[in-house]
Amino acid sequence: MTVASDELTEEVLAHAENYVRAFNSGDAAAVDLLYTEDAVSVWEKGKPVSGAERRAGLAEFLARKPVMKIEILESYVISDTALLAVDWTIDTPTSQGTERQQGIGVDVLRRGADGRWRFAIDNPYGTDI
Amino acid sequence: MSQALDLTLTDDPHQQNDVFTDAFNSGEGAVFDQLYRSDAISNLTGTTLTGPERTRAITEFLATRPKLTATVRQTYRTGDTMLLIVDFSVEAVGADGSPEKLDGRCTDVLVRDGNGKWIMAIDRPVMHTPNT
Repeated sequence: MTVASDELTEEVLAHAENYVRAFNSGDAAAVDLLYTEDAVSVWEKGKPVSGAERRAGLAEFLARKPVMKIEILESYVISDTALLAVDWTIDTPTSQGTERQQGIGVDVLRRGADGRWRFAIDNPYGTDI
Repeated sequence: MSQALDLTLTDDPHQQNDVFTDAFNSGEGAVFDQLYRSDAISNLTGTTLTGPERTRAITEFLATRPKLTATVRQTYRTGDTMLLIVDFSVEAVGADGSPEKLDGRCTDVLVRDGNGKWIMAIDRPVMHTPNT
């Protein structure tokens, strides 16, 4: 049974890896290019942010030099839409040592008219609500 | 086939949930299937399916007249993409003919189609494990 073209799934998984690389480089502008213009991030459970607030929140967080690792647990990919379940950790250096955040995210990606995938809904705590 | 249900999904996730529940409980796969994009991926029958296999499996399942109740827990939306997190309970008939209750939490991805109408693209139900 083929549930999605392998090529599309490869593209989505590559996008997720690019995201981690951009995130760990600390380059907020590079990370932002991996989101849709109107993307929603839910860094705090039940509190979605978008637009300028999302961009500023991301830039502020990246300035703390967090290091992300991910493992993709599930992927569902169709022509222009993908759902990923992602096991992630973020280690952020602090004056007291390293602070770890972790979760299983459920993220939605869309494929733009230019053929590129971008995160539309960045939901790091998934269904843990 | 008679179809009294209005299957139009509005921007309101609670209305969407009501339409899905009514379509599911109609028992008619042909009705429920109209809520899904033709290339949608569904895990509702316990297997990841798309295309004609998806339609066939859900039609066979709905013909056994399972009863769904569902509550919207969380929704996130952009201009053309929506993520719904829904708690559900399905009363079905098990393989041996005895009643079976399936409870879980479902993640649904809806997108706007070419006409701007919301339609199901991907569903991902996860059953609660027993005794939790």
